[in-house]
Amino acid sequence: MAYIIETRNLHFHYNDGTCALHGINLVIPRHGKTAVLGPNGAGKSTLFLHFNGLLQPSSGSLVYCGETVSYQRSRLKQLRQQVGLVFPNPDTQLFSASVAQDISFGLLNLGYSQSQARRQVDEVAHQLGIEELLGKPTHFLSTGQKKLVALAGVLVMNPEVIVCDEPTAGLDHVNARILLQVLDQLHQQGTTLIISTHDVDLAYGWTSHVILISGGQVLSQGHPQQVLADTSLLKASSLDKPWILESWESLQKSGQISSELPPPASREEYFQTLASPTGKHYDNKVISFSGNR
Amino acid sequence: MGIDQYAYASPLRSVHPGEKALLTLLTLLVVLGLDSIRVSGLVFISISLLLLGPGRVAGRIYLGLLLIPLVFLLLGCVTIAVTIQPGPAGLLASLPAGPYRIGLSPSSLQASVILFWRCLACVACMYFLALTTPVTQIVFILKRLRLPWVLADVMSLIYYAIFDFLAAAAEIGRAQKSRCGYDGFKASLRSLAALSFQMFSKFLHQSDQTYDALLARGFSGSLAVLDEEFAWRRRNLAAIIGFNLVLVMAKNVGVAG
Repeated sequence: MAYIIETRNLHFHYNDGTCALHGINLVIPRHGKTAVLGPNGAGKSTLFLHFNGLLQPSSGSLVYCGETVSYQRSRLKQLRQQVGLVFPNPDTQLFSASVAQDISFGLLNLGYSQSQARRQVDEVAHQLGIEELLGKPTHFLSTGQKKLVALAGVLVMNPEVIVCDEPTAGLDHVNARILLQVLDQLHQQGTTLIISTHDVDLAYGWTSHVILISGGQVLSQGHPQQVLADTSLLKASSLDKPWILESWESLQKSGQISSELPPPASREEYFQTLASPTGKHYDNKVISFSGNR
Repeated sequence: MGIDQYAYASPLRSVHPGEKALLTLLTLLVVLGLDSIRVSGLVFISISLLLLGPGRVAGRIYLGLLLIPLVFLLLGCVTIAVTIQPGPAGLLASLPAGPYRIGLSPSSLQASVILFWRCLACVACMYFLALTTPVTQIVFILKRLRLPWVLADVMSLIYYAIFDFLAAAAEIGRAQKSRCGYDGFKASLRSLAALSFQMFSKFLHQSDQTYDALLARGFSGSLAVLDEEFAWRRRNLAAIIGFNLVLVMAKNVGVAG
């Protein structure tokens, strides 16, 4: 099964009648890094609340590992362990004054004993490099630290998929980089990642699959080099073209670069090619983290 | 939230919260039960020394904290020291007030001095707990004392929410001031009304989101989290009990002498 999550004609209306999602059909590749791109109010967060069953579609369905999700209690509990959701604002997710206690919450809900939970919490804190925060009160942490603690609270439940709503929102470049490196690490260990963002440059350099949504509908999905090169689609979803593609196209137009050369997949490849513009092909290596511009 | 920060930074933070609570409560009981100036003074001095020494609370800060209840305490003591009676008989000093005299009698003066020291000792005991024991540890004790978990959960949630709440209120207030809110009485009322409404709707919304976030991590009714780990230390327990025995003896020595 290549896709870990799929949605089939998923509609969602809020209680007040607002229709937030109009027939969403999307696929999330297993072990991939997927970005859901869209302007504010496109329905990204509403969509994310469906991925672990917090919202139930008004019609249509959510498919996890090829099986349609039933919204029974036991299935939901399992789904919420399989799909970890990190909220955009850590202050809504953190509830305990003690960092260690906050991280342990999900584990104890899964029935871990105190000593098992303690071990897991220590392990995850080590993995994220936040051991020294464990003894600190949550409300004295910086936003960057809070984001890591919120991630730890989800990661500790050992999910197959981690869904991060706006992982870099509110973070400076250094902290955004740290967070993305942590996510990269998880990806290398086999976790499927889904993030939402309106930062096209981040989506272009960092992900392997993008889903463009606007007005509660999927406009396009696929490889970032294809989806994000489509000017009219981007315009329809009020997004700019990634700077790599934009400058690449202008270089090709002015003849400085052969028009046959495919666009670089990351910032590193871009500069590599510029350094040797004779048209030597770069390795089609795995796209590594290329920074948030 | 000054006091809370001191509790987190206190070197005594790692001491078993049960020991700290025991010292506070037992000493409170002894102070209230023995009702003697000597015992109260002794408690005030020893607890203050404990806070200033091993507790590493700065003298200036401790003094500032003591000043807060001191105002109320002095007002209370003055009203107790002053008595009104028909004649000047037995009054140390008095002023005429129509057919009555207002003044200080030896017994009322003594009662107010006893009260003063007793309150000061109790305040020191409570500050000891407040300055060494973060709220998470107090919840820990209450849970061990079999407080219903719902109450303990609500307590920790409210405690954490206070910080969010204060920060949000301060932020909204600043934003209002930068647009000339709180300028004059009428504008102040209007700004305050807007702030209250904002706070209410904001936190209603946020509580929905927090609930979702809890569900996302498998919430099923109770906020089960890791318990902190502490070790009882015999030496501390012995010292706490020894200290209170000394207090009891101090009272009795006074009677004998």
